[in-house]
Amino acid sequence: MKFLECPNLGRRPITEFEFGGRLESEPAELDMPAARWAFEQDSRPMACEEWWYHRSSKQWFRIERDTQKNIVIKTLNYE
Amino acid sequence: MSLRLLKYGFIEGHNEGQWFTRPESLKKHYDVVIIGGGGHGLACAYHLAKDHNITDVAVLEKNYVGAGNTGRNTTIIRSNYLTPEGVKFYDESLKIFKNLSEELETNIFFSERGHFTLAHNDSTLRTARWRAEVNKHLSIDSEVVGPEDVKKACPEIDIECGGNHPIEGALYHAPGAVARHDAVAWGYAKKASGRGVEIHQNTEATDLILRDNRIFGVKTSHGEIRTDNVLCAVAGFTPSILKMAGLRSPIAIYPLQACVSEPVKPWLDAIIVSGSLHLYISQSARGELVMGASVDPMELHDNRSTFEFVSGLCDQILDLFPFLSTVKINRQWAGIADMTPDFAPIMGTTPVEGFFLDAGWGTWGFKATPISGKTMANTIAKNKNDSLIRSFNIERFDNYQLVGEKGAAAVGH
Repeated sequence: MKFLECPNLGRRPITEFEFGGRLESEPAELDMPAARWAFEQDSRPMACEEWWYHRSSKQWFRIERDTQKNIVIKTLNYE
Repeated sequence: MSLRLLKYGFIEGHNEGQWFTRPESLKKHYDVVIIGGGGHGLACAYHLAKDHNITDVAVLEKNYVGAGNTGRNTTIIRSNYLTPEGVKFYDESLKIFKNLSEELETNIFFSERGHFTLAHNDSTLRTARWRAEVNKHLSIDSEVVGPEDVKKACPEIDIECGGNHPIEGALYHAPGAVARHDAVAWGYAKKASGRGVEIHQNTEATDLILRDNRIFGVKTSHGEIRTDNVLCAVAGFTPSILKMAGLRSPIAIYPLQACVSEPVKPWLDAIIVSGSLHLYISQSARGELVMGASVDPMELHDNRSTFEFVSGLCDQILDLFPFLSTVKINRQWAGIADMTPDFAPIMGTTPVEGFFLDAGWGTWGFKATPISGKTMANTIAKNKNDSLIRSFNIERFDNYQLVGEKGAAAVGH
């Protein structure tokens, strides 16, 4: 079983969550062609800031996750 | 232990046949360095030697030959894709596969089975019709059939799926086949090695050396190599190698899991796929049921397999084949898949001179092994993209010329 450390509920099975993708807001000025921004990503094993959703508690949250070990490094505060 | 094995254990330099030779050490220079000793990398090495007489080639494999996704896929071979580019490409591969045992002098257990993509609702049936018409237009044996045809080819199937999602029809692709995936890698290794290609296992590429935006060499765990041409054929590790070349791509890494049951008497001749149920199942020559599903739902660089995958998959399999409830699962595993936004590969030249890419194989790479080897070898030898893979170049994303293969690449996307 794979798990994820939910900021609200603690360790829960990964099947209870929805992966919401990376947390990457578009910069005001792009320093690359728009197509590059739209498609390209650095998908090496690393710490990534991501959106996640917990289905039964209906909560979206943002975390920094290690994509190799699947460990939550920290919870990101809502602004 | 057999006496023969024991005997050869004590004799040095015995003449017992080896699949491929193990070179003593890396040379200082090669014409071509291939990173990744899976099916794709080895097939390219073989075709460089055979078609282009380029034999000064080193294949670097950080693990053992076929340790990655070559030995982790569910071995299905087919060409009933959705885009004309995809159909033409995969059909060339299927044609090579048919005679590959002879070509490689290796029994790859190629077995033509017939491939059913089940439709449990009208919209899936409509996509099946679309695919069938594209396929027929390109002379591929592919047609939409009714539930009675599925039942005829596979009498064990519950056409009503337990009443939950009755089968309305299927896309039927008679040439659909399976093969022994390890043997494909070994066969290519044997034939490449026989023509002088060096296969270096336990040798990891740790960095690329670039000069003026072109390849100058490769740093490895066993020293530096000077070379002008590098092929990256490393599937789930592609983003790390691309970083060494100063490149980025739209590839995202997701785990893909699969499993096999205990061996049972042969009963399933066809390959059965259901997008709605997120599953595919076929029976291997050993009698094991080879089963898979869609990718795990989040980006992850970890090939651990999980219980919830097996339980979720079996839940769906039992809707199709209730009698399998007493059959046990023997093994399960995962590979790390390099997914692309359009479910088509990324192949050919790159913005770095001398750096070639064979990637973006996501969940659909095994069936392309022979043709990707052939076309990549052609591309490297001529430093010009082979016409068959031109539309798969990494530049397509810059020009918004995607190859929309999502409807046919795998299940559950």
